[in-house]
Amino acid sequence: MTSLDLYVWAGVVVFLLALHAVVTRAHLLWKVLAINLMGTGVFLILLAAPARRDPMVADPLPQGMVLTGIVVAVAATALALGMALRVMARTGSPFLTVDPETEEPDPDAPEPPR
Amino acid sequence: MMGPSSSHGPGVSSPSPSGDAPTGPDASSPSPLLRDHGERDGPPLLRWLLGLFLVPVGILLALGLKGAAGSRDPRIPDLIAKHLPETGVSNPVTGVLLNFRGYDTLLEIAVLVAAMVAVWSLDRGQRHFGLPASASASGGAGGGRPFLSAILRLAVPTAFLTAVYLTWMGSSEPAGAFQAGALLAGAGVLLSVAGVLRPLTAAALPVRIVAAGGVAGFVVTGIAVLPFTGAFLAYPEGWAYPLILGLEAALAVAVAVILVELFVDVPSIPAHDAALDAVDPYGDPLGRALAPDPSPADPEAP
Repeated sequence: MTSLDLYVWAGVVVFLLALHAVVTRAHLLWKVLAINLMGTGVFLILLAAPARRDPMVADPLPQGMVLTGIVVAVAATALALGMALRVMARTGSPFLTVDPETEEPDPDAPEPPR
Repeated sequence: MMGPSSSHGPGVSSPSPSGDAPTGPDASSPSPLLRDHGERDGPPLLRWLLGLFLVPVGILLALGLKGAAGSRDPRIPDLIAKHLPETGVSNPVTGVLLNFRGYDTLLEIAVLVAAMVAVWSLDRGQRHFGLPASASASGGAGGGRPFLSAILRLAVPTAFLTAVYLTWMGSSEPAGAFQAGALLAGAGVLLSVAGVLRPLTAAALPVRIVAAGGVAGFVVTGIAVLPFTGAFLAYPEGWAYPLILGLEAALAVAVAVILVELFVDVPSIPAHDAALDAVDPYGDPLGRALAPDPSPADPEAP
């Protein structure tokens, strides 16, 4: 197993674990963290794609793209956390209510601010 | 400082239901923001089925990606190395990001500005962050807390100096505007939490000017070099290094301001959480975000 294999497998495992969490976890904080982690998996795979056969020599192109991606991921995570806080401010619950007609409100949630 | 006796929504301080909390950070924390017992998660059968489904997906994905990763044009690193002297910088990653692929960095800072505008527009003027004005005014920096003021005096100048160094070294070493901006933002967040720096908001004109300055500097530079080289963001010979350094400096300041704003300018939550105050009365950004809302709720709220 080469280091390229290791990076690709690790990236895929991180990505899919986070995808699993995005689908199954209901808490908004977990969803935001999981989406962030999915991006990290993609970065691992991008870094595993050096064009040179010698993996010890850095390929600046994917490194630059990952650097850009990290900054964009930070901005997206901040926006997602802000939206989660906004949901909390509106509904008093850190969970998304899919359909207010059919779904019971969170019994532990504080009263929504009118 | 809002005392623990401040009004808080009903149910906020009710005891948490007992049960297994395999993932909750603190089962005794009654904050709805930090509490998760997994009771809303998908049913176990769904979780296991999804996990089983993802195993073959992962194997196929990894095998396919390995093929794709090995099939990139092997000439690209050599091309970058060959033309690196023309970029005005000696670090290949900086050369790629600021010269060969200048669009990358231009759109990157544009995304940051867009995120700042979006976070700012989430809530209109109801924010509580950092120490309250009375606490910080009574004792100056750190509000009479010696450890906090000592940390501030050590960390903030060090972070500032290191940020200048990182911006300067970005042309030759693995450093640059975004690393420097992140460091400056750390110092800014520290100052905001301590109540020294008034919470930044995108509503303030200086914040808007600095944040937009990164994008504007890039676009103006890109257009200004058009008559000389005939291409957007193609620097004239001999001008690449000063232009990149100037852009990096503007970017570092813009990134710092935007990151601090993203961290500080968050929507408030009207329910006050006394439990968070008991754990950490000062400085916890989420605790501050949970401070009670003195003004009436948003009229658009349901």
